[in-house]
Amino acid sequence: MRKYKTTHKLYSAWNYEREIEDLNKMSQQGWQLVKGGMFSCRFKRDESVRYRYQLDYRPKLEDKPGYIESFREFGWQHVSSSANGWHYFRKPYDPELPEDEYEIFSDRSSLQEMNSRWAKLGTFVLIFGGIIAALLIALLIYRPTLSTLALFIEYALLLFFIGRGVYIMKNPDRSKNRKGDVALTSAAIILILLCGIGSTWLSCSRANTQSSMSAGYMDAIPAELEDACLWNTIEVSYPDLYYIDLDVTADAPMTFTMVNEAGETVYTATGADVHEEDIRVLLHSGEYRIYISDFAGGAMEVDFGM
Amino acid sequence: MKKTEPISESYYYILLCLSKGANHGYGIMQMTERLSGGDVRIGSGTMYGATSNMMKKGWITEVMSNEPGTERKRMYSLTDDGREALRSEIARLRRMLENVEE
Repeated sequence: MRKYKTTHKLYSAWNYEREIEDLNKMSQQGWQLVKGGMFSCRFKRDESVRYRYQLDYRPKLEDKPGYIESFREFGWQHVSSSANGWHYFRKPYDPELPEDEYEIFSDRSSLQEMNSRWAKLGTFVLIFGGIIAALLIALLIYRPTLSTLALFIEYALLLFFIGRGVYIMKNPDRSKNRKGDVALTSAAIILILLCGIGSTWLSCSRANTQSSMSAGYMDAIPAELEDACLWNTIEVSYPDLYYIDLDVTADAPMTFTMVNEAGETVYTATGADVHEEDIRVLLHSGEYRIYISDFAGGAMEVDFGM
Repeated sequence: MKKTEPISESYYYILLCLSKGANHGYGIMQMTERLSGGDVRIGSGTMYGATSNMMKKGWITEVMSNEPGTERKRMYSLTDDGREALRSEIARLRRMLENVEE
């Protein structure tokens, strides 16, 4: 039989009671906690003892040895502390002892104080996330792209998730034993991560598709090329809303046309003086060709990207 | 007169125990249990939170332990402010009881 075992379970801060319950069950089955954490817990095989666990949240500890010592006086052994301020304690289980021997908070107000210590952090995250979400909305209005939208959805989910946690921590009576919360927490974190990855992936594609073409003074197009000339091609890697900035100062009216692989026109402009900015076109992945016709000479610049 | 908020049962017993001399957390807990006939228990998290808060308020201070082998133990001692807080709480409780007998 193995000596050590690591479990991966996601516990949200507001579901710590469920975590304690699971640790107690593990101890009963002969697995004793060695190191606790938000994402994984490490256990050691030892069937000779049985412990009861408790969690305390104290992110700011000036005197950690003194803190651990004051718990030790009460019979609590310090197991480990997570980087984000959770402290794991255990006490050998003795069925003779009354149940309140295994509580670390003996009154409501001190339990409430612990919950509000976490709620304070949660509120700070909410304010910070709210500011970012507001900035993303502004960005979406100014320059809508799928990656910004994915990022916004990510923040909206995160805000909802944390907001719900803060609410539960402030109203602990409603949070007693939420069985579905472990699954919900895992699902929410995976969803949030996916949105983050999606957004990063989409924004990385900007680098691939960003291109700037400019033509200085060009000679008139020879007559044998008929009236249209393939000027340039663009490779689009990822579908999104792209912008086109077009600056034409030609000697005579000309036509600028962007065509997809199927030969359909996605954008066209005509004139001797065209100064278009931030034209939005939905492009799919594939090759796009730019044709110009009736070009009698002049200067043209196209900026294109996300 | 400064309006004082009622203090919690745990705070009251911690102050009361310390008014009889400096003590450490576990000692305060045992004394509380004895005084209350086993009715009031103070858990380690509650004790740590209460003593930290009362130190911030200036009601108690940490003192060095003289007993050998207990240097790491936090010993607490009542300050004048703490004694005053306990006195006004006792006065408040006494008044409430007198009101019953009126």
